[in-house]
Amino acid sequence: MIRDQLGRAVTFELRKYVGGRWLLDSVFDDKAYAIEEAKVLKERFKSVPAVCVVAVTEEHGEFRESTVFRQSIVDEEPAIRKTVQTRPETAATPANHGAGTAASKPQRRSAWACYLQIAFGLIVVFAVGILGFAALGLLR
Amino acid sequence: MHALIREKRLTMRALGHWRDAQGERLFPRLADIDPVRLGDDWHNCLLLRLATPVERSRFLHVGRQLCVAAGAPLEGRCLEECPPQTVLAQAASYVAAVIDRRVPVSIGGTTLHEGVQVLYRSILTPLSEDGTTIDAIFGAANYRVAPASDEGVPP
Repeated sequence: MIRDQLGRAVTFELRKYVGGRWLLDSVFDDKAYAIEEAKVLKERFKSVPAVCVVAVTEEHGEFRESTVFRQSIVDEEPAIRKTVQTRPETAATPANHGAGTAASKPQRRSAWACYLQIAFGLIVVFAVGILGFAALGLLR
Repeated sequence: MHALIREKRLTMRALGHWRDAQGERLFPRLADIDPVRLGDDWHNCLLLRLATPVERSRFLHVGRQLCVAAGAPLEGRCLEECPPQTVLAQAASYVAAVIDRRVPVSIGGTTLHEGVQVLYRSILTPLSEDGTTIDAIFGAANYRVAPASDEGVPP
């Protein structure tokens, strides 16, 4: 057990993000060792999306935690989200053609529905007209 | 990748071996610890069969690097018979923490070993036959003589 400058007991907990929650992986009394092992763990197990090292300080029976290291693909999520949000704006550029296709598909679908609706309307009008003329012919 | 680059630190190599043996389980079994794969590191390793109380736990293996030169072999002996003021005693001193936390624990620092001040680094990892009850401990430790001017960086 090491102690900080104020004489408080400090341990470094390596935690991994598995199955939607943080799990304790191992405990160290040395920050550098803990961080090094966190990097090894992240590199070695691709199924672990995130690792962190938390300094746990005990003082008078109370525990305080502070994250001293974190490596995660979760951290990249805001950037990914931002990219997704900007896709419709950049859809017209050739470089983002593929990305824009998915976003513009619903618009195309609604346009075709509109054309079909107009065509159907015209067919109905013509049919009513033809029936009208036929009815007039019969009356004569 | 990790197999090609050998980890410099003994305790990290021991932890790597424990992780390999662990696979998808929570804990490896005692039989999963392979002295052949550990190679020369085996001489710095220890195996402990847990009992209640913890002091009655028995050593199954104590690497020769951890043995006391003039002492009797520790295999089969209880934890409480471990010679005090040795690296082995220091390493075995936090067995209860490993049982309590149910994860590997690594501790280092300075201690006396056969009357000489040394810097040491150790690790203890939990083992289980049924995947739930921790019934054995696999550990490793190494040390070097601490120079008078040393700032206390363990090996």
